[in-house]
Amino acid sequence: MKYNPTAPIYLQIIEYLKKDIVTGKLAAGARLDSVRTLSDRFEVNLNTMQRACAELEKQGAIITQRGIGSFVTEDKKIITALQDEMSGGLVDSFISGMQDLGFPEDIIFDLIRKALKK
Amino acid sequence: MSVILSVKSGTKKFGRKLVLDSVDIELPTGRITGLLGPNGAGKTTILNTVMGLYRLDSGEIHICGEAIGYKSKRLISYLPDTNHLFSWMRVSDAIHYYSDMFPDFDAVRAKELCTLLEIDERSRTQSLSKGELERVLIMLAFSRKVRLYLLDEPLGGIDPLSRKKIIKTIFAQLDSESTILISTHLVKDVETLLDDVLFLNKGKVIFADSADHIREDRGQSIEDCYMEVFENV
Amino acid sequence: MFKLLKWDLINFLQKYYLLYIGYAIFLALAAVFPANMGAASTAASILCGFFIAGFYFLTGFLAVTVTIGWTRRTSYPLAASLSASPRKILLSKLIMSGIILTSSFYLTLIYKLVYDRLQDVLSGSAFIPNAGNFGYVPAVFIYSIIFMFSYLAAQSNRLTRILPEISAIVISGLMYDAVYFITTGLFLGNRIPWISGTSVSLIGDNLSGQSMIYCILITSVILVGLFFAGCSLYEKHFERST
Repeated sequence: MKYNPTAPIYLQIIEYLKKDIVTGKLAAGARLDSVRTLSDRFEVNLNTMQRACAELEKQGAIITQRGIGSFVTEDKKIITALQDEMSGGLVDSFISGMQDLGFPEDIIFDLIRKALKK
Repeated sequence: MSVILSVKSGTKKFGRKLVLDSVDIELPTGRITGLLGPNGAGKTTILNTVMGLYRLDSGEIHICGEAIGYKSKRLISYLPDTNHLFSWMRVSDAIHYYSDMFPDFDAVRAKELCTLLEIDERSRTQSLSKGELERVLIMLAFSRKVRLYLLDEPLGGIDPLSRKKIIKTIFAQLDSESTILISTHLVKDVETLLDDVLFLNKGKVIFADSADHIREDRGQSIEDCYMEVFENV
Repeated sequence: MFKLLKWDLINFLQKYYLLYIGYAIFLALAAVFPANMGAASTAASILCGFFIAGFYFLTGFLAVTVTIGWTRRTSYPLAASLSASPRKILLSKLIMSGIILTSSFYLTLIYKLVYDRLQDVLSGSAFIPNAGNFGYVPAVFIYSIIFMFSYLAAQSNRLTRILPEISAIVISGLMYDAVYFITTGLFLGNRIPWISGTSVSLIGDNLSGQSMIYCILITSVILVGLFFAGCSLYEKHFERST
C-alpha cells in the first residue's frame, strides 16, 4: 500500500474502504475482518486503522455489533450517498481542471462523450 | 489513556557537555511514538537513562507511575543500537538466554518470528549481516510481552525487505496495553508507522505532536515537518 | 538466581575454555616429557612451569575482574535490562569469582589423582603444588569483594568516573589495608599476621582460637557490609563511563 504522507493516513484508508463498498467489493451487509487483520493488510498502525473504522462507523458506512463484529451497512441510501460523494469529488476536480486549461463547457461534453465511446 | 513513561525535566551532562536539557516526555499507552532527531541529539541517551544505564543529573523518570529502578525493568523490552548479545552465542543460545532471564518471554512467538523474519536459529550472531542481526534482535525484543518497547535505531542500514518485515513485526506488537518508542534519524522510513512524534535537538525536545495533527493542521508529511522545524532551529 | 549463575558460568567457559585446556596440556606435557633428556628436559620443565604459574596468575586476575568485567562489555546493556535485583546479580558474580579461584585448586587435585595413578608409566616431572601454595585463594577472594565495591564506588561518583580503573585500584588498595587495620586494631598489641601475601598458614601461629574467630567474624561482617554497600551503589548511582 502506498500512502500520501502529507495527508492523514486514516482518511486515505477510509477512501479505499469506501471505494470497495461502492464498487461492491465489500458487499452490503458483508462482514469486515478484524481491525488487526485490516491493519495488517493495509500495512498501518492499529490506531490508524481503528480511527478509520471509527470514522466510517460515524458516517454510517459500517456498523459494529459488540462481540459479533463489524459489518458493511445494508442501507442502500447510505451506499448511494457514498457513491455520490466519491463521484462528486472526481467530477468537480475534472471540471475545474479542464476549465483551468481553458476548455469551454460544450467541448468538455464532446470530449467526455468521445472518451466514453472508446 | 494512561501514561506509561514520564520523563520530567530530565537533565544530564557528560563532563561539561549538556546532553539532555530539561527533557519532558509523556508517553500514553497503546501508541507508537517516534523519537526523531539528528545523530548526537541525545536519543540514545534518553533511552539509556530510561533503562538505567545512565543516571539523570536532575529530573525524574516514571514507568507506569513507579520511579525507575530494577523492578520497573520487567516492564520494558529494550533494543539497543548495538549488538548486545554475548559474542559466542548462536541465535538459539540467545533465545535460550531470553527464556531463562525474562519470564514474559514467549518461546512460541519467538519461533513464529524466526520463521516470519527468516532467521536461522543455528547461525552465529557474530557472523550475521547488519540486517540479519537487526531481525534477530527485533525477534528477541518482541517475543517478550511487556508494556513498553524501546527501540533504538531498529531500521538503520537495513535492506528494504528486512525493513518491511521489521515494521510489520512492530505493528503486530501494538495493542492497547503496550507502547512503542522508536528512536531514529531516518524519518522517511517511519512515516506511516507513527502515531506521535517527538523532535529532539541537542538534548532538547523542540517539537511534539501527533502524526494526524501534522497532516491535518499543517498539511505536511512528518518528514516535511521535520525539515521545517529543524531548518528553523 | 541460579539462572544468573548458570549463564555467568556458561559465559565464562565460552570465553576461557582454552585457558583450562592449555593448563591441562602443559600439566600433561610436564608429566610426560622425560626428565632425563638433559637440556631439553630443563627447557621443557621451565616452559611448562612458566605457563602453569601463568595460569594461576591469570585465574587470580580473572577472579577479581569477573566481579565487574561484565559492565565493561558490549553485552552490558543486555545484563542491565534484566529485572533481577542487584544483590542477586552481584552475588552471582562473587560466586563466579570464588569458582574461578578454586577451579585451579580442584583441577590440581584431579591432576594429582591422575598422576599418582599413572606414576609408574610417567617419566616427567610433576607439578604438584601443595595446599600451602593455595594460600592466596582466600586473600584474593577477599580482595575481589573489596575490588568489586571499589569499582562500583568509582563508577558512582562523577569525578572518579573519569578514571574508574585507577580509582578502583587505589580505593581497593586502601580499603584492603583499612580492613586489615580495623580487624587488628581491636586486638591492640596482638600481632595478627592477617591473610596477606601468599600464605595463610601464618594465621594459625600467633593466634588463640578465640582471637582467630573474632578476626574472621569481623572481617566477614565488613565484607558483607561492603557487598551490600556495593549493591546499593549499583542500584542507585552506578553508571558506566562512556
